[in-house]
Formats: sequence, C-alpha cells, structure tokens
Amino acid sequence: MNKILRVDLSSKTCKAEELNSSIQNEYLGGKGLLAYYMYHELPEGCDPLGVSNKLMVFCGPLTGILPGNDRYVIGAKSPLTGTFSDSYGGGWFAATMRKAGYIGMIVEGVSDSPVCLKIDDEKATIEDASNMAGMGTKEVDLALPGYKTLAIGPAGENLVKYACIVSNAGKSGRAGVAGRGGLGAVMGSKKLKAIAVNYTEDATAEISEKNKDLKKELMKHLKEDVVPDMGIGGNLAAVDYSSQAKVFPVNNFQKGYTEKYTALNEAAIEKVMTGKTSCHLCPAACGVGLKASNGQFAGTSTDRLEYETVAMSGSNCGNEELGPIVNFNNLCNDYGIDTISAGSVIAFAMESAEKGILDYNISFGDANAQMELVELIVKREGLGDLLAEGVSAAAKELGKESESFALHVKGMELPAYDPRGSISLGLSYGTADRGGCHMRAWSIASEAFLNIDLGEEKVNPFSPEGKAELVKDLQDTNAALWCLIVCDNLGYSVDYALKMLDAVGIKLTEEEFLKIGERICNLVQLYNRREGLTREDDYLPARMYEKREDTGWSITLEDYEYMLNEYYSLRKWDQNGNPSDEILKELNLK
Amino acid sequence: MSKDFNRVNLITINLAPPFKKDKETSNFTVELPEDNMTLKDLALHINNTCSSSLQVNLLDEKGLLSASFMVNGKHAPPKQVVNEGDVIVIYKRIGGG
Repeated sequence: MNKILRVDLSSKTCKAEELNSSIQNEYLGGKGLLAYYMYHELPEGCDPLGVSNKLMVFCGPLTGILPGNDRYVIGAKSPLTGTFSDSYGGGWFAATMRKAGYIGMIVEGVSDSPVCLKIDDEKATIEDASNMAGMGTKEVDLALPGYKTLAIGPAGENLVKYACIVSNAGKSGRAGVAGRGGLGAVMGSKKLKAIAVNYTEDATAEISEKNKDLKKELMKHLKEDVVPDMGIGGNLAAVDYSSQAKVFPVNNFQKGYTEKYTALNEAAIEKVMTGKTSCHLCPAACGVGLKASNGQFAGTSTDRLEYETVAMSGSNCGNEELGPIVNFNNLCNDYGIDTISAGSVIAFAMESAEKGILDYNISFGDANAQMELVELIVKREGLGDLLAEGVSAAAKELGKESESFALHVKGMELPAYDPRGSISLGLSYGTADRGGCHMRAWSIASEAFLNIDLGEEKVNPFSPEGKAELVKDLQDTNAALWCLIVCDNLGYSVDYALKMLDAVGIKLTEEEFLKIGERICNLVQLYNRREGLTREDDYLPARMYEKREDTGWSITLEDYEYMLNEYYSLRKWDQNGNPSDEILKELNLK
Repeated sequence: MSKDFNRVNLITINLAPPFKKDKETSNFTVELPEDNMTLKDLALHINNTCSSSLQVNLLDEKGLLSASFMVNGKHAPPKQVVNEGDVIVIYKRIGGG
C-alpha cells in the first residue's frame, strides 16, 4: 500500500515503484512527498502547461485506516503563479487509491488524445477518453461507474489558468475539489480527462484490523468533542465570524461588511438545507447541500457549499441572496474552475467596468452577467479569454490603475478574509508558498475570530507584534499535518497526529514531527526561489495598504515589512527570503 | 534559591469554544501548584481541578492535548513555561476554510 504509480502519457505506460523508506522517514506522505518529488524531478523553469511538468497525487500513511485523514493532495508547477502548488480535496478518492495499494501517483508526458487513467487494484491502464471531451465533471464521474474519480471539466481542457480538479462530482457521497492554483489546466495540458480508481482487495485491511480499537476511540472523540462544535458543518459559520470582524469581502474588498450577510449565513443556509454528505471514515458530514428558495435562481440546488464560495461569488460580487451563489457553485464545479479565483476575477471585472476601465456591461450585483462571464471564461471567448488568465494578467493588459485593485499574491487571487481587519493574515497571504492562500496559516482564528469567541479583545488584530511567530508556527504545523493528510475542519492536534502515526509504526517525537513540517516549508521555498521568485513576490496587493472606505483600516507598509523581516529572521532566511546554509543543514536539506 | 511560600502564583485563564462551558465559568484564576509548569502541564492541571468549567476536556483520557494557547496576547507552544501573572487563552486550533 506504499507504492507510487508512475504514469507516462507520452508512451502510454504505467509502472509501480515502492516508496523509498528513507524518503518516507523524512517526508512521511501527502505534502511532504509532493514537495520532495517536485523539487527533485521538475526541471528548473519548466513550462507549467508543457510536457516537462508533472501532475502528482498523494495521500498519507493514515489514509483509509484512521478517521479524519482521508484527503488527497494534487500538485504541480502552477500555470497561474509559476510556483509550487498543492491543492487538497476530500471525499472518497484518497481512501480508494490507498486501498488499491497506492500512496501516490506521478503523471508525466502528454497524451496525443484525451485519455482516462484507470486503476483496478494494482493494475493501471490508460484508455481512450475521446468520448468524454467537453463533458462536465459530473458527467465524467457518472460515465465511470464503480470508480472513484478525479476529473476535469471543459475549463481544464481549455487551459483556464485557475481550472480545478473535482472528485466524486456525480455519484453519492461527498465530492472534493482541489480548487486552487490551476492544476486542472495542468491535467488538461496532458489531455488527461480523468483518473479513476477502484479496488477489490483492500491493501489496508490488515493494518486497519490491527487498529480497529483506535479507530473506534477516534470516531468517539470526533463525534463527542469535535462535531457538536461544527454547526451545520464545514466552515459556513465563518460568514457570521467574518461579518462580525468586518473582514467579509464586499464589492472586490472595497468594504468588509454588509448588513445583508444574514441572507447568506449559516442560519439562512440551514433553513434551505437539503442534506449532508461525508468523506470516507468521517462522522462530520460537512458537505452541506441546499436549495435556493427565493429570489434569482430560486429552485437551484447544490450538493456542497463552502464559505469561500459564499463570500467570493456572493458579497464580493455584490450579491445579497443565495440563489446566484448556488448557481455559480454548480457552474464552477461542473465546468471545473476554482470558485475563489473565478469570484475574484469577476469582481475585478465588475469594478473595472464601473470605473470605466473595461468596456463591458456588468456591475456589482448583476448576477446574470456574472454567470455569463463564467461561461465565457470556461470557453475562453471574448472577454472570457483574458479573464481566464487570472486577475494579475488581466490587470496588466487593462492597465489604467486596474492593477491597484487586482487582488492577488504571486498571481493567485486572495481568499475571502480581508487582512486589514486581522493583520497576521496579511503575512500569511504574503508568505504562503502557493500564492494568496489562507490555509497555510489561518491565523485569523488566533486573532480577530478568537476575540469574537472570547467576547473581548485579548489579541490586538492590528498590531504586528508576535504575528510572525504565529504564522511560522502554523505553517510548519500544517505542513506536517498535511503529510498525513489531516482534515483541517476537524482540528486534530499534534498529539493526536503522533498517536495515529505510532499506531501504523511511525514513531516520532513532537519535535521530530514539527521538524518535518519545517523541512517541507524550506524545501518548497528552495523550489520557488529556484523558479525565480524574490522578496518582491511576498507582498500584498496595493489595496491592502490603502485605507478601507468603511472602517479606515489598512496595513501600513512599515508594519508589513516589520512582520516580513521578523518572519524571515525566525525562519533563518536572509532578508531576500533565501534559506541560510545553517537552516538547510539543520533540516538535512544540504 | 528558596521558594517564597507566602507568594501565590496566580494566572488567569480565558476559555474559548469548544472548551468553554458557559460565559459565567469561562474566565477564572488558577494558582500554579508548582514552578516551571508548561502550558501542557497546566492544561492537565485544569482538566483535573476545574472540570466543572469545561465543556470539553483539554486533554483526553490518554493525555492527548486538543488545546492551543495564547499567552499575554501572543501565540505560545504547549512546551512554553507558565509565569506568574500570565493571562492564558485556551482555544482550539482549526485549519480554516
């Protein structure tokens, strides 16, 4: 069950290799293995959509065995940012891949026609998928009965720079979306329409049986101690938190609050909820399905909605009701584009049009025009062809001050929390390895949101003091946890991670475990620096340094640089963000 | 150096969800029973002596820690030593979304 499948689409060959134990000792699984193989196998300066890029999929040493670890990571050099890019998804694919005998797969080369990679237990074949060309992810999944799938839609085939990869899009059970970084376009560039996996003999059966008592204990812990605090599921509670903290993006982050948030929050969604779906071996059932009941797009339903989509396609595009958000979610999931980037790009287009920079009939709150733009982006027609390149490229083309409100870091569009209300998040966005990302260090939970939970300000959300240490610690811890790949919603601590690893024969101290996380962060930094990124790429978009019109909040450049300098220093990097020989030796990277 | 037996080492605890049971019992002071306690040691002490204030235990019956800590407004790892007068927030780390 620790095999890696090597797939060459150019020669249409597949070969399994055993994971080297010394690599697993240093990198464990998941993000660790991804970082290792990307650094060592991708040629410097390779074209993200060219033949030399590789698409990699990994799960972790606990996947399929113990609850809360059933996620996959997909990675490659991103066509959106040119950086290392790792994107995660839940559902059932990861467990199925592991039970088929694989901890990962590395896909290289380019097929001459659309293909599907099929894995049945340890047998892997590359089959013609010409009949699937143009299909949405749902139709692809249903065309592969009996398999768990990863699929791209037409957006990936058309190389939209933020095309995503969707698992289990049509069958029952929770779907998963590896949304960020344009990995769907990498898959499309290889003409790989789908990866389908099935097993008849469970490769994890023996170790699962050995750990059945621990599995029961963990399920009990999750059901009694974790799930009750999750609300209706997932991260939808964040609408209320973000609104209360005034970091809920409105109209391309021009404001951070709308009184209409109550039409979009968890309570509003619960009233129209239609059901919940689960990942493999998880009691949380955080896949919340709903049906919009009134207003525009009334009657539209979706299987799974998350906070980021609510915010980025909702309030950030001027929408004040659920119907447009649900419709947008369906379109993006089926066509296969990232809802965060798509929401950001469309909000950018809305602001550009309102400011007279873009000659296009669209404005904030125009949901019909918003959906039309989604169609144009996916097909790369008209304005859609430009917007399909991402907000950074679109702003460069439009010029005329539009770059000042193109909200990205390293080319990847910012997610749905305004860092001007929680300054540590600014550093988190700026230093995230894959571009504008909140997940590497969701530090707002230890800052503005924590103050809400406590009912008083215990942490100053506007002070840069101590925030570098917070962000670094979260990044290192998360990098280690994503080797397993622990689900972020469940919040397993390091103690739990060590106990679970011990159960499968991997014995680590807390210090050793966190060192692995730090090693991964440094290895990825080496990769990004090798690809030409510099300190200048670790800054926020201009709008974040400007006073926000509703609150007057901003992040001063002085405060940001204070945090960045302290961050580099804590990491033992020079002031250009290059890892020192000292830290590389300490982490066995030199 | 001898211990000052007249000095009471008090620290303030602020509980956040899911550990906080209710508003009335979420903020309290605790006397440190010994010197050089780490935050994790403190969590075990609170588990054992203040369980009526907890909705969810800070450590489970096997001693696995679920909590994260802020000390005096700054992030703090579980191995950090607690000092007299510290104001400690105990909350749960969630990954985000």
